[in-house]
Amino acid sequence: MLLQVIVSGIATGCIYSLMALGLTLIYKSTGHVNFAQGEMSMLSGFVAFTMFHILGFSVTFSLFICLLSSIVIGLVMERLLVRPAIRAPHFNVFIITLGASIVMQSGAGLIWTHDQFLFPSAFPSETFSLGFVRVNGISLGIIATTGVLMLVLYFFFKYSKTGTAMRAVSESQNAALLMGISVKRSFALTWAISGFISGVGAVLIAPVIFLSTRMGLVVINGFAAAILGGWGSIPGAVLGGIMLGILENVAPYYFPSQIRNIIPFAVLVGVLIIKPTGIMGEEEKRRV
Amino acid sequence: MSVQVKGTKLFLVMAAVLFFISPLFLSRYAIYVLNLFAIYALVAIGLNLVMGYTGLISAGHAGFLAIGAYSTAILTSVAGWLSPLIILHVAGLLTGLIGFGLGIPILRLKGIYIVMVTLAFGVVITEIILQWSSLTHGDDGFRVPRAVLGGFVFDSDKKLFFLIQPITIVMTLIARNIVQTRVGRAFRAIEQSEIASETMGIDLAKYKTKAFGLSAFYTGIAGGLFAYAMTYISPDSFNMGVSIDFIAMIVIGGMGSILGSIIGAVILTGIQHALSELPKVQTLIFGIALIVFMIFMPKGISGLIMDWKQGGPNRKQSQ
Amino acid sequence: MLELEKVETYYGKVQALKGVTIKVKEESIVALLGANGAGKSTTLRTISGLIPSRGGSIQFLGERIETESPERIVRKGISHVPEGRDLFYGLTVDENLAMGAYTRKDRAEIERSLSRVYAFFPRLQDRRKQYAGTLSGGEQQMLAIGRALMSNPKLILLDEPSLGLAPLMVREIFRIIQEINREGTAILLVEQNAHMALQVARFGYVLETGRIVLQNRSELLLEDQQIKEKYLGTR
Repeated sequence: MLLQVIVSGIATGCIYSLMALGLTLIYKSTGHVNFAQGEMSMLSGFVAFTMFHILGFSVTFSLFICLLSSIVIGLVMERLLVRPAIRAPHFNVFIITLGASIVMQSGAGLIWTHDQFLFPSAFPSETFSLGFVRVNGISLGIIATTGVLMLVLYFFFKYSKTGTAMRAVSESQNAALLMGISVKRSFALTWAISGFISGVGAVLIAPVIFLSTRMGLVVINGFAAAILGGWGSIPGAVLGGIMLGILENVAPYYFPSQIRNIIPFAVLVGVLIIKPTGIMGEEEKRRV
Repeated sequence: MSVQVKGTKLFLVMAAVLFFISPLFLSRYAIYVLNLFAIYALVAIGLNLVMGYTGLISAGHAGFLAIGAYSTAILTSVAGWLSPLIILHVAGLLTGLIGFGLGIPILRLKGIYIVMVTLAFGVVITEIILQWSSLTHGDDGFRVPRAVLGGFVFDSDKKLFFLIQPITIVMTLIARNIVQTRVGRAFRAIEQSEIASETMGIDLAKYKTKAFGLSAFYTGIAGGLFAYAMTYISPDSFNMGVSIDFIAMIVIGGMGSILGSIIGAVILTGIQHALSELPKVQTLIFGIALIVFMIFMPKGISGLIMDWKQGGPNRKQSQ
Repeated sequence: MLELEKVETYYGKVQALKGVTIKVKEESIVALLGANGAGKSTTLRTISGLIPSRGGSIQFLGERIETESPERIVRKGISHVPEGRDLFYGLTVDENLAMGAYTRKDRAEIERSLSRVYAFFPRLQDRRKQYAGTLSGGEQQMLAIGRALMSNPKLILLDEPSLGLAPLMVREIFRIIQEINREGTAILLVEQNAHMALQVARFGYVLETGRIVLQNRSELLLEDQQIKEKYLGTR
């Protein structure tokens, strides 16, 4: 029984990992903190919803457009909101993304109302037996998709020229410029990738928790996951997400069930008291 | 020059007199809104003491407001014979102490961590209020008894006006003093450059904790007044969105400015009541305002006023 | 090949270069000397486009480049080894070198440049898979020069290659600099170690608070009384 709860915890955790990963990528490469990461996910979810529910396109095509729109949302965020403030302190950019999250949430509410909507899953909902554990197809799909996405991202950043250049930019913008790497393009690409990750998040999470304007709040679990794993660490973001997911699913077995809501906050406070650098975090390097 | 100063002084005195007799001819609703202006101005000043003067983002000030409000409500219901001034002091000090305590673990952290801890703090506070229902009546909310001062019952918005406004004015003046003294300069130095202020010999950690404590004290007092003014409070009055509204107030009014805090509080509270029928549009406007101000006017409205003031004499010189 | 004509550069409101005129001929080594803060690094940063110039002109191979982006300037054949090396410390040696060739497409040619760099610096080849941050100071300087070579430049701007290195390593680095030059690459060398610099350079300029105050053939500068007192430490 506990094993089963852990598996569904890993599935929930995958969503948090994706959220945390999107946040971490943007932070590592540009130094900015994107509070609107969850709303980006929510918005692309509603794009898909509009496609199949209102305009009557097929679910597959709608999900494809959802992913495409998430990339566009990322690019638009960068171009419209972040780049104009490129010389401003990170503080200002944080407030701007906070504003953006409010605008997206209330704007989406005006268009689609604040109700909850059913969202079709890309995966079958029947249960499979894996040895001792019986696993829901949707959970399995979430874990598999997240795994594949992580692998693709890993190979992209590790082995492709563009991916390496993006890492180079996050190491030193000055030196990257001297190599002829366009820092602006690299920033835009980072936002596009983060957008895409948020889109995948939407496709995976919306069928589980319903599609609603409140979906963007998952960004807080993302932050908690990223901090648990060690803020700024990519493996940390992934690990932190999965651990948070497991914790959230296991805790109600030992504590009153309301505890689930405050788990991310309890984790945040716990990490900051015990080890602020998180599990995989390094001491903050001095940036010149 | 001295005539001009005298003129300004006279104008201020007249404005003050007019302000304090205004309840005689204003509607009940208008007085209620004026009271809210004052309460939120206190919150904004409190938040600005942290954000504007030390550059730390607090996304949990609604939590402080809640502590101030609930401790005032509870204290008034068990010891209603106490002067509201004493009750408010206790509420403010309690909140300030909690803020100070929260400040201690925060000071070794940076940017994003502080946002997340304060955010978590806000959520945890409302969760505690929700769960501790024997004390707070949880989800049902709390009916706040009337404040009584020497037999005088503050049972209308008009009467409360004379409790809320003087307190706000006195506390605004105190805040202005603090900001203009050494402590204030130290706060601002922190905001400008942590390393520079360290070399200036300012004990950063000490000032950040003090700033947090002071900020919480202000917000706690505001919370107490809020409880009296609303007469009914529930955990929902202090959710995360409220904390973000507070941030919007000082971003729009002007970071690091007392005047800006008041302007921001008045504008946002004004919009909230003008558009109370359209809460969805309201938040949309706040969000857009946050973005537009941060991109085009990061110093807020008070920054614009300052630029205009400084531009004035310059223009004269060039003529 | 490179001609700076009355170049002016500002940091905010502070003028850092007050009309600098410098020439670097094909296949030569030119030394740019001066005290800390004289504007040596600023000159290099202005040439490579990291800081915009606000006056004067910069010509490279007959083309005006003072308004170009750093990206375009690299493509035109100028490589800058920045002050303090500025490596990608979280990338491996190989990855750093690959980034040096970022603007180039032809894999075979990139491969040839790579073997050339490894021929100059065999020590780097032994550490190909190591992170740049784990290298010693001398190896890091080698990597910085190697990375600059990877774009197959016609001119290298070299900022303080001897900084923080042991004398033996400085000798080694300077030997390789001369070797690179002998294979046809021009070098504009900024150095605090004036003696070393003038020994390898053909021509030298002396910069003082943003102005060229002295210029001459190296052997004459080495004999110059002023230079001896100020920069060579001989009485």
